[in-house]
Amino acid sequence: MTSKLPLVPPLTRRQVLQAMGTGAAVLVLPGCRSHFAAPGAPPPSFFTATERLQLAALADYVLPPDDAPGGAALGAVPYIEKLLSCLEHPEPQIFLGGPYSGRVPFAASNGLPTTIYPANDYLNYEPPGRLALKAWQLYLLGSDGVGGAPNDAVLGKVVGLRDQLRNGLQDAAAKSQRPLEQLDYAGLGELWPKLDKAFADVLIGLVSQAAFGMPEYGGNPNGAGWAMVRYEGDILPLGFSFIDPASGLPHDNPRSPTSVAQPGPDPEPLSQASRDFLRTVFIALGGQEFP
Amino acid sequence: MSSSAPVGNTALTRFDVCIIGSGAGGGSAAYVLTKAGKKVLVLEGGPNRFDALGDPQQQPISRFSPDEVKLAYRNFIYPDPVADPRTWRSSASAGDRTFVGDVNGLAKTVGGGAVHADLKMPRFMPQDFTLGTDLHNKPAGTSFVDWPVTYDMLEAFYSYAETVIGVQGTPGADPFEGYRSKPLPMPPGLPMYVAVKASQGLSKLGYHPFPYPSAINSVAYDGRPACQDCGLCSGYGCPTNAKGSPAVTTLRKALLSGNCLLLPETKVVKLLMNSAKDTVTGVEAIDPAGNRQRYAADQYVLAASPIEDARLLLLSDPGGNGIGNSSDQVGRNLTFHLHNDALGIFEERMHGHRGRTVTHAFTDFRGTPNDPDHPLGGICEISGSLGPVGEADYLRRVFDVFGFNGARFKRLLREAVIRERVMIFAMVGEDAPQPTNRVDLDPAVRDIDGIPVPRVTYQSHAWELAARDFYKPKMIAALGAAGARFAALSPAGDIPTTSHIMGTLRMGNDPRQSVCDSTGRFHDVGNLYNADGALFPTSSGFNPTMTIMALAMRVAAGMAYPGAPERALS
Repeated sequence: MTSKLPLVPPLTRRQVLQAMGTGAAVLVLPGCRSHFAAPGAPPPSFFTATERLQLAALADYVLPPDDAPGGAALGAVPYIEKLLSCLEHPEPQIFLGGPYSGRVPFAASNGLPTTIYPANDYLNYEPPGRLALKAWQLYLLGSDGVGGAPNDAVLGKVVGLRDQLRNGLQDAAAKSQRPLEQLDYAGLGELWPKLDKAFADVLIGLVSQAAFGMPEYGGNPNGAGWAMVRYEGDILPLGFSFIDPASGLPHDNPRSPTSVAQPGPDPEPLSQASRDFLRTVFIALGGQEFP
Repeated sequence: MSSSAPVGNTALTRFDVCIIGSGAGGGSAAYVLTKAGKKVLVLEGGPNRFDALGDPQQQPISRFSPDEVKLAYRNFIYPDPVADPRTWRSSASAGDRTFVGDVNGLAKTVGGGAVHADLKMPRFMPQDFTLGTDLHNKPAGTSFVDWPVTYDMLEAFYSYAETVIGVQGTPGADPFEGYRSKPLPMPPGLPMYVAVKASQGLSKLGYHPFPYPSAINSVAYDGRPACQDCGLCSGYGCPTNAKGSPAVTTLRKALLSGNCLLLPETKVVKLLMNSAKDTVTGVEAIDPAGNRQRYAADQYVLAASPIEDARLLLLSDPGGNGIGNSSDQVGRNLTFHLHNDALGIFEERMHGHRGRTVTHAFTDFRGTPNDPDHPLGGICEISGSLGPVGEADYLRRVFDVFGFNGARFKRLLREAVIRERVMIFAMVGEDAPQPTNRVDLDPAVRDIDGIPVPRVTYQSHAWELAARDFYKPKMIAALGAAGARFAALSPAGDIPTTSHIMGTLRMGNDPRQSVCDSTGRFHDVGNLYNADGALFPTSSGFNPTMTIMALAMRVAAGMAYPGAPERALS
């Protein structure tokens, strides 16, 4: 099933944060059956209002808003906040359940979608287990937050993710000539190389997870991130192949095949700018360009 | 659903065999032993991610999903690199350690590392078992030896394992493969488009691509459905059980026999020994509640993967040289595979994120001993790509070198440069075994339970680096022949990350130079066996899982039927 979700209309950073403040964090796309969970009670929070604005600004440098949503509109802030608060629930909200989200139907005998959907297992969370729970406590809260870690004396204390992000934001704000949320893309681009490298790497990773991970984790509202990069999302139980009842053998999903070219033109071909960048990378690796 | 609840026959209180680890080796051993009527206790340190694993009335319900964040970034089944680290150094002269974190991380879960693998299941070649004899002018510092078992001795167990777990493929399609006594039980599944295009280019150059033997159902098999090519295969547990991981094949069959009890999240931390240290009297483990417990059986099988196996033997002999280590070989001769990944970027979208990650391979680069025109390399996997989160992470690392630029990052993601346009040839290059490549206990670093972590001392030998350099231009040329616009060999870091881990308890006939004998039994400990890749004296140039399973089945068969292991095949 190719993704038919239209691109989310571009929003400003302030519009996104206003929507979050009212609990209306889900962007419902017109004309599309929504399988995405509506928000419930306000989640546990961690950031201050200023920190959210700063984080949104930096997320919009990682994925700048243009004709497609930026990092903030793709849910970077709620994703990160939900991650940092995932242990503050009766059942830790670390791992979504499985196997199915309930977004995608079962396949018919011809491989096309039916109207029969599986139950939504993503409403539940899988338990972390003894070791995983201890690991996540250390990961989020650091050595100081758990009363010390076994290797503090040998390797130094573990700085929890909460402190990494808070400290990183403070550092970024201190290095900026103006409040972060007032910087345009060029201004953020001047600031970015000055950021603590470890913080910058964590940020890129988290913004990416927010944009392209399961929406139930707090980002990728209504699959907007998937739509932007033309990714089908969680494809099961429909799948990219099915068993033909006549032959008993596997066949391609007729709309999203595995073994043959995707029908239709390339929706976003390789640009000259990308080609030039790839040339630089591959030549630097000692590789080759073929005519 | 509980990830730690006991599974199987909870009425069992007395056991013939205790198996430590539930992966490719442990699951295989459990299956053979329970089929022979033995009462088996399986202790697994990781969580159980299946409901109804031991329920005969229904298929197991997988709690895996095509969720990149859960599997690849939140350690659903992987050890946490801070709470459960390993350490690494290139050599003893580099100091106590130069890296702490994820070193050769394997999934720790019911089903073991084979749960996350895409279960490529080629056999080794007959020549792979006799490099001690066949390889002339062995490079200095290496320890090539013959295996004490041959391909002929293992062949029946290869066929047996392929049928038990269900392997798809086309026998004879690889012109270099060894003989087989039985066909594969399933035909190959759909090829990935990446593989179709690659095969066209490879064939032009005279190479021989073929469907990769894989333990993934191409059709319904053994009560499990056919694969639907969802794309998140390598690195992910299977949501539908089409992938025949040990959890839903060998281990499940053992559980359904009524002769097996599985205790998940039960972390074995010590083997208990008699005063002579030649007999295991029990094991000590930390249970899911964090309490220490003891378990006992008549015989014991170590199948926790090579690094953890060696760790346990060393932990069990504090101040000593390690259990079973009169040879001083415990932990030594650690081998991996030198993964040489050649990347090609194409103008055309090839949707390499659909499919089973790898559906085809070619063995033309495996090579022949002593042939300078065909040095020993390995099978080449023809691979697709990642989901968008993985793609973003990959690009981030590229930007580490070239400077991060958000606009460029976003454009590359929208054009799906990696996810849709990449083709990868990944050569599984044989490692030269070296006694100095080893596992011991880090002198200072501990895991979150306060237990010494494994330290890996490892560096590649010039021997495999030479093979990489020899085949690199050929791999790049082949990508060009397939239609790539750009191609290069991906740089590899020093810190080992492969999940192909072998050696540390090498098998051999001489107790002075090996840890285990040809039956998998420890030379020094009469009731202790190994049944995983730790037994491998050499690494070959093929994915190890099929050989691990065949060898583990043979080890267990010998335990069940001493002197007549072939009885287990009936």
